[in-house]
Amino acid sequence: MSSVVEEKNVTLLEILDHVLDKGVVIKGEVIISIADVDLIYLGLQLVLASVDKVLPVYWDDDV
Amino acid sequence: MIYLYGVIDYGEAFSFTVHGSGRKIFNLAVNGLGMVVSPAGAEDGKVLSQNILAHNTVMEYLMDRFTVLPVRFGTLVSGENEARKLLVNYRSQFARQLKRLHGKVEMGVKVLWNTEQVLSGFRESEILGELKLKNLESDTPGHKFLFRKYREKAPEMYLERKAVQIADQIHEPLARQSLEARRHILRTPALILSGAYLLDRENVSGFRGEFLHLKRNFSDYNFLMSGPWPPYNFFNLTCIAGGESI
Repeated sequence: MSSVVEEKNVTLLEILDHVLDKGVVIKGEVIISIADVDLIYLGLQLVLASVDKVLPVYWDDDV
Repeated sequence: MIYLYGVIDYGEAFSFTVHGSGRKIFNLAVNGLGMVVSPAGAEDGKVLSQNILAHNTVMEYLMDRFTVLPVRFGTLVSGENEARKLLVNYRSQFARQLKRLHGKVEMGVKVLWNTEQVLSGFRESEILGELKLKNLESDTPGHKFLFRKYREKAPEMYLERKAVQIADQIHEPLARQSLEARRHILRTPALILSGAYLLDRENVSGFRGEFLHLKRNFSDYNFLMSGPWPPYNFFNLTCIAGGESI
């Protein structure tokens, strides 16, 4: 079970690392929302900093 | 409200429903290009795991079928007309990038180390020697002060230098397999290398082979490969919405 959770976490983390601050950026008054992305991205840096501590087994077995 | 996923090189209308999230996706086609969107509420733009995964499911679907310029996660506009205006106003920029990136995908590689483990293998004298700081040692108070400061900083300086050496040894062979490559060294203290590599889709298998070869050769470190992704790290496009009506 834990490995499933870890795998999901790694997947989510990798997706976050790609989708949060990259891609076509659209600005302007018609934008309803671009989420609180910058704040979340700062948090992501902190998660990345500790990911080796929580996920070493999965990372070793990757690919 | 309309949620924007990406711009694709396909100018015909299509639609589908995402299994699980139930999002109804459709392509707003204008002049040979498409803006892929779905009707949405404000909740869909929040950074929640289900939203991130739903967004990524759509991106994977698109990437398997088209060249796609992904729109940043969580972008919501007021309606279809705004999305169409973006496609019209930025058509030439979108078309140029889509042509450049046609048939290409991005792979991601992350390499981590255990800094304590790296430092534990070396004595301070060796670190100071390698950093050429031993020559500063003398009896004058100024030199003593400087030397003490350097000793305090030596582990960090050593790690930085070591990280660059290792990151380059891993990044360069991967970059040679790629059309373009980006590398970020020590994005966090544990993350020696965070690399992005642009490849022709048919070269993904060769890239994986090189990755596995490097992983075996650098067995003290943790490796992660992810992808294929849309080329998130290989274009830069900011659009201002809200221009004249079409």
